[in-house]
Amino acid sequence: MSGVMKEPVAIIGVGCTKFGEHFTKSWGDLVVDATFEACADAGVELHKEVEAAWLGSYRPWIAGERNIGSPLAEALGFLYKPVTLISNICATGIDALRNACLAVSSGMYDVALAVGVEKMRDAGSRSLMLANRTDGHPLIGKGRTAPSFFASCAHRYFHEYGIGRETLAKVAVKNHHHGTLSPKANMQREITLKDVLKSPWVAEPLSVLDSTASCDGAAAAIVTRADMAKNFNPDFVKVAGIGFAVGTERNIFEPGFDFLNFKVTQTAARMAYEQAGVKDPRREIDMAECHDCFTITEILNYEDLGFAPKGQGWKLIEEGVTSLGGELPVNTDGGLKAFGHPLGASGIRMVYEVTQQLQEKAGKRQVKNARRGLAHCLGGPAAMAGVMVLERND
Amino acid sequence: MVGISAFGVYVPAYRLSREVIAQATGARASGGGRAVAQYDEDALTMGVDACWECADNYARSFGIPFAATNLAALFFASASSPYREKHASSVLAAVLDMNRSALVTDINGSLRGGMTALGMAVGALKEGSPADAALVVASDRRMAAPASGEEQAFGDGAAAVLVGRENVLAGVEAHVVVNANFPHFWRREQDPYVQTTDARFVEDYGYIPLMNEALKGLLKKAGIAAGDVAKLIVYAPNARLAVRLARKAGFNPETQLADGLLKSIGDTGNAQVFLSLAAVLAKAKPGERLIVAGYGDGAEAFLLRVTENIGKAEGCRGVPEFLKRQRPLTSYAKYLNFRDVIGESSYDAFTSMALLWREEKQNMKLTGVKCTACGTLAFPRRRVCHHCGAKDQMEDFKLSRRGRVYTYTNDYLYLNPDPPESLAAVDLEGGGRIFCQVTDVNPQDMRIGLDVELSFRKLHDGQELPNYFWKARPAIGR
Repeated sequence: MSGVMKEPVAIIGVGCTKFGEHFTKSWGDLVVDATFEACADAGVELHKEVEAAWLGSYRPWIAGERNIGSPLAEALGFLYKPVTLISNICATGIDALRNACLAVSSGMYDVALAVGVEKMRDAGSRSLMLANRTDGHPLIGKGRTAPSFFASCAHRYFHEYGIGRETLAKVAVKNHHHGTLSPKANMQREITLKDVLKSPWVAEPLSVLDSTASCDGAAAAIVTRADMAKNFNPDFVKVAGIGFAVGTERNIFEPGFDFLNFKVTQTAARMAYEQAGVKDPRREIDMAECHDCFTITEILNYEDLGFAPKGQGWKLIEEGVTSLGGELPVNTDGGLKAFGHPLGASGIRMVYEVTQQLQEKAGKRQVKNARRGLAHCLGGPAAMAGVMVLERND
Repeated sequence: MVGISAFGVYVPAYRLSREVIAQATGARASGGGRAVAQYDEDALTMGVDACWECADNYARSFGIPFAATNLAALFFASASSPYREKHASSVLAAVLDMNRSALVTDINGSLRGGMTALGMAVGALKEGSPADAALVVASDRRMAAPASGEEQAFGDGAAAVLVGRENVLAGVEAHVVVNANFPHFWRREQDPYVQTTDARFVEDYGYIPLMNEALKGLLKKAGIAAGDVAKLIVYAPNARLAVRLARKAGFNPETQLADGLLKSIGDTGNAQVFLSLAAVLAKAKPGERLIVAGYGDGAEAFLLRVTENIGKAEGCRGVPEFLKRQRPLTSYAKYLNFRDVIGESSYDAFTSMALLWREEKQNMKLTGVKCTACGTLAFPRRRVCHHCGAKDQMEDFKLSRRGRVYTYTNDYLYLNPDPPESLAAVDLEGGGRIFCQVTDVNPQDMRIGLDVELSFRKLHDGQELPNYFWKARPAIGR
């Protein structure tokens, strides 16, 4: 096993809808908007040049679609070609893109599409969050919600390292500020520390403003082999490393699981760093999009991605390292927190932002000399993680 | 000698002040407060708790672990079983991990069921069954019409007694039964609430004469006088009636009549005499005679004699500990919601009969696995070891019901009739961890390091079945 892709792969086009409450648009509308934007960006004709598609959508059925590949074929008129549905909770999008990359790397297809989409608001404001009330094992872990898991992590983190809610709140304030510079973000307003600390509980010690909000959105990327990329788009971005690791949702029952660090992220990051030749991520990564479903999660991610030693992730936020203008800006588009988190779309939305940063198209939130960026998704109660390292082609 | 070897009591945490009921319903408050089952509790789950209390008390008293495999019989006596068709006792037997050949049955319908069960348990052991013991569980969560007198009078609770031939705290010396077709309380198939009729009539022509007949018969059978009895323990729907009965039967209510716990807990139906008996046994002295009498479709009474073993029961967890852990339920509406009178306290969720049946060992008996190749524990059970990769080399590993909170949250998102929903990762004594809901806890009391116990509760009603599993609750009496 080489642990690397057979042939290097490049991203030649990306697209993303505005994230938010799209009551006027269907699941299919979002797929159409993101895909055609990505095709235009790549300079490819969808029906003539794209040969296969990976659809990342955690639960199409909550928006009235079936959990199969056909809704994508229907929406795009992408007929009689391979379409694979990928569902890996919050890491769905990045896994769809990973599979598209592997497909073009294999040589079987020249151009492949990855679309991430979730239409969450058609099914009520808390629908997906509450789905485990009615779905899944009838007894084991019953009652666990996404916030309750990360809230349990936060309590333990507070207990071990002596920090409090104020530090977490700074993550929310930062990402909301980044969101104001991001035209497609769901939330484009500044918030203050006081706002976060005063907002109602979701799961103690996490409040509403420590949490991402349910919303709708889609993002798409077009990939091809690196040696062919310049024929489509001279400003392509190289996929330097991809890691994906799946663990168990029953880690919460493991006596050795400390609720402080996640092996799935550590492993996925190691895979991606090895492929990309990254030895010191804190210095060699110029900007990152990481999974900030809750404020505590971003801090845990800093440690698992190697940006900070164990127990010291909180210092990066206190010292402003991860703000725009800091040494390693994180979630420059607002992240899950402000940009939004339609589950299946998030991984590709991150790649959309990293690509724009590397192409110097990020406008007011542009990170200077961004040459290498990272995208990271975490699924479920740290049950899986995907990490991608992207690089400029020059 | 056959007798009672151990007792276990269970009283739910919530107390609803009768003032609160009176304010909401416009009735007159009868004083004190009634015990109210949590929304996730029913007669069966309270019965499970009482059984474990009994088992733990037995082990504390005699230094011998309680073994369900020694039980010849299990009787579950209740007028409010969660099942109209199907035994609750078979769930209890599964949770306790009893032998399949034991006699296991429900005794439903009458408030006297617990006494009947005690008689059957004593009978089973006297007949020379090879097993050592039988377990009698009495539990009720009876439904009274909103704003009725019964609503204030009733309370929820459970008790269990272990009947044995050895290690007896109080031996059974005599037993009397009086059968009568007298409807004092009843509930037809279609009735949601317990029915009764003119109080003066049922008291004067039912309770007093029938109970008196049983008490008199018992004294006569044993050849003793009322004055020879240290404590008279009787079921009574109200305290005034117990006093009347004691007088009528020749006892001194001031000195001999045991507290029926009606003011502090309420009329717990089948459980009541057993709760009262447990409180008496905790203070009893060797040689004392006790009378225990139950009522319903007649009356039934036992004469007990306290043995020298009673000193060993000193450290047992009983009524005082459960009275101490009470939490006030300040909302009458919440009480109605817990009992599904308004809104729904439970919900429908995916479940599967086949899955529940297949996983009984894991989910009912709390049995995980231990890898024989590397010693790694797993709960929930799995076939392939996550540590060493060995396939199908697992042995059973029984989890402890005691543990300590590793981390926790109070969740306001999950719909819960008693919000917020507390959750915790609990490290169990002896190994293993469970991530589960925490019930009967004040959210402000949740903390890392909190000592908890696992309690059998109803999670939901998926597929029209009560789906039972374990939740943590703060350790009682600490």
